[in-house]
Amino acid sequence: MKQKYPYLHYRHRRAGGIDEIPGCRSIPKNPCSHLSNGNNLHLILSSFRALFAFIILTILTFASAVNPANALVEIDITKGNVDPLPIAIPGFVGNGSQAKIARDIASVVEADLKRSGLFKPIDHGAFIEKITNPDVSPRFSDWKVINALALVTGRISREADGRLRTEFRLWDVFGAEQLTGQQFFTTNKNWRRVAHIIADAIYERLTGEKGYFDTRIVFVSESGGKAKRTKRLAIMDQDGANIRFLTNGSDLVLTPRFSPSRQEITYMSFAGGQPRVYLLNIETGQREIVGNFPNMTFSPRFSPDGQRVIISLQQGGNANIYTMDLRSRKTTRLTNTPAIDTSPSYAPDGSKIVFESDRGGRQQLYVMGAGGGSAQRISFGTGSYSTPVWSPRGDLIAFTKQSGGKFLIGVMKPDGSRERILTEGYHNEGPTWAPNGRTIMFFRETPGANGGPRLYSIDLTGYNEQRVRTPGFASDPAWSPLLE
Amino acid sequence: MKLGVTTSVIAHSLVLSWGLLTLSAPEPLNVADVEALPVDIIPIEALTKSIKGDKKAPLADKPAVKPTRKPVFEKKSINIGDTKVDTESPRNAIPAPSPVEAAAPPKSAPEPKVKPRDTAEVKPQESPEQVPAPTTELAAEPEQKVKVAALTPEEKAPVSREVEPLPQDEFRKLPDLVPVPQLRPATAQAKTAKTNQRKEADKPASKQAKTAPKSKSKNKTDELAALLNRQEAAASGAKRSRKRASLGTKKSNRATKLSQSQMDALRGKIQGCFNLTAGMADAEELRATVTVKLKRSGELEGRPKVTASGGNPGVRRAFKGAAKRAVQRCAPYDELPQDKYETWADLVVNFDVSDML
Repeated sequence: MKQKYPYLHYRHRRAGGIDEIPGCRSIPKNPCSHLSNGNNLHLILSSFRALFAFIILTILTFASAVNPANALVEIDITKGNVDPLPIAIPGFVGNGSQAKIARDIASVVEADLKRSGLFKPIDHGAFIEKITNPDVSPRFSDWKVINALALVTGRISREADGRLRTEFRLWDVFGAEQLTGQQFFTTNKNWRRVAHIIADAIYERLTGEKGYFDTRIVFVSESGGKAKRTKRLAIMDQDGANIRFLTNGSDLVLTPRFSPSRQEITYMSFAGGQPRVYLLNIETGQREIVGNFPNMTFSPRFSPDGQRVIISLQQGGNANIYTMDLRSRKTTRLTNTPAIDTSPSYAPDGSKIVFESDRGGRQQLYVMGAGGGSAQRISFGTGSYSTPVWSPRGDLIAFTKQSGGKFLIGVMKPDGSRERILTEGYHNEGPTWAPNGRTIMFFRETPGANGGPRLYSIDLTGYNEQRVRTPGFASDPAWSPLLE
Repeated sequence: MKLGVTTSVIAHSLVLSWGLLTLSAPEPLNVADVEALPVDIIPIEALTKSIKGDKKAPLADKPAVKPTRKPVFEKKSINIGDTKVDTESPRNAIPAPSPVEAAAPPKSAPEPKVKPRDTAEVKPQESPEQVPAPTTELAAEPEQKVKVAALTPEEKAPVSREVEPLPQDEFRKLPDLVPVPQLRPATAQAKTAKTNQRKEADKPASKQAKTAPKSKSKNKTDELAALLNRQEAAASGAKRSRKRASLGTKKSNRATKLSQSQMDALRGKIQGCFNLTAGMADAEELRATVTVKLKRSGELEGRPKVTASGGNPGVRRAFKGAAKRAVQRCAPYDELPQDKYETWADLVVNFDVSDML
């Protein structure tokens, strides 16, 4: 290898040579009084240089020997685009009377995926190939050109018994293969649900996480002027369609919550003058009071198994947390402090409870075991924290934070670390998680005489904030689990 | 006065000698230390290309390029005029190689010598065949083209007739003709073939050539065979190298790695194609490796192989898909340097976004 570095070698020799004796030059008065000394020094130095050169050469020799010509390039990718994934969803194929519904289903799927913020449906005008038979492979080159990473094709047809048959296929354009394909049978009316289920399937296959499109939202619909608001309990599909009202608006209602296992809602109502927590069966309309408490009960929430309701009970100037078993009607007291403990929320595994309390002076978040006992404070930022909600994924807790005259919605880990603020505004409150733990819905109130609350959703990344369309004002949203 | 002088001398000498002993030379400036390290600023490419060879390198380090190419011709090379022993080819083939290049004429001399031996030792049937064969081929092609051309048209008719005797050729190929080594006037040929004698020998050879084509031109296939023979002989000139292969690679030794900037460009390209879900669960644990072969054109050869680990099964599958899609989407990799194809024929891409999310 030596011959490969004649240059290097040469430089070293010259630097150590006799022709340059810098010491001599730099002391003009006594030119070379130290010459002999200097020569010795140079001898030593030059031998050092030789050694140094040798070491360098050895290192380089080894370095080049270790890198033989291997026909392999290895590259580490540590970054990527978090841009929404471009997806092409041409209208489904349908004949005659099914043509319209076929188009509608595809557009509902498209809207769902777009709203999630993780997908970017490609404009239909860019499509080159017209899908006529979803059973054969599309011409992938046509979809590559418009840079669609995924393609959804489908077909609607009517069965002999009058039911709709919907089938779809999800294609990986660049891999030229089918990723998934399913078919559904349903009644004519139910086509929106089928569309949501298809969107869920696509979402799950491409992101690896459960979808949340086949879900509903229960919320408080508000109408009338600011002084005299009528508040009604309402329910709608996650995309704002199919609104139904559950109460008639004669009584004030607050904080509705979905049961994780049944078509039941728990909420707080002022019916009969005394604010109490009620349980409402959506399908039958049957209503009952939770527990038999003498005082005001509020901020209810179901346990993850749907067997218990956890509430706050006012006791004098304080409030404590209780649970009630829905079968045995037995109540258990979990906290006993001279402070206001409220807004309890279970961890998804049911082992812990997060709640807000002003036992430390201001409202802060605390975590305790599901059976009560000592609580541990987890929020330490400036301002006060309230309405904690444990994510269905279990990894985060969403909260409302009041700081600097603003209301912020944020998330933190269950141990209180890594607090992140997702959004802020004049008045944000009441976060609720989508069942997959990726999206949070909350309501935001606008100031002014004509202002009022509206529903918004935001992605966990904090980027994809969107308004959820409702007729009139709306507050206190609560997300249902995935429908069955 | 004297006392003063002596004391002064003594005192001075004392002082001087004390000075000589104790006052050493002034402290040398230690600048040399600083200068001892010449620093060169070298572009990173100089390092990545450091494997490049040097023309002035000693022979010991020679890349063994030749042996890898030659083995195809190895067997045939035995037929060369220079080799002394030929055990494989039938003796009829002997004359054929001799016409190689300009060496034709000299054979006129040896041939007569050969004939007697042939007749004496080998079966009489074969001798007539052998004798004409060499002379015709040798003389006709290299030098007497004009004359031959004149002759051949006249005798084209016989060619067609005598195509039948082709079995002669088959005969030649028969391995039954055993005593090959004896037949060869190898030494004689070698001597006469030397350049000095060739030109003189040409003239007599030409006479024979005239006669020779008559016999041979009947058989065009033989002429073709002669041509073919010639090519074979020419191609087989090299001896197999017995030198040890050096540590060098079989392929070219030039710049065996992509330069740093080329790697960066490739990385940037794939990153641009890599589309992943924002806020993926368990992103810290997810790893994926895509292995794929590339064609020279930069396109993928076959489907990429993907392995992934970490995360829950659903997320892992999605991550796997995203990694594979990135590599597929970026193809073709036609910006990679063609002359370094050997280095990027296999592409391995590791995906790890733990620092990102």
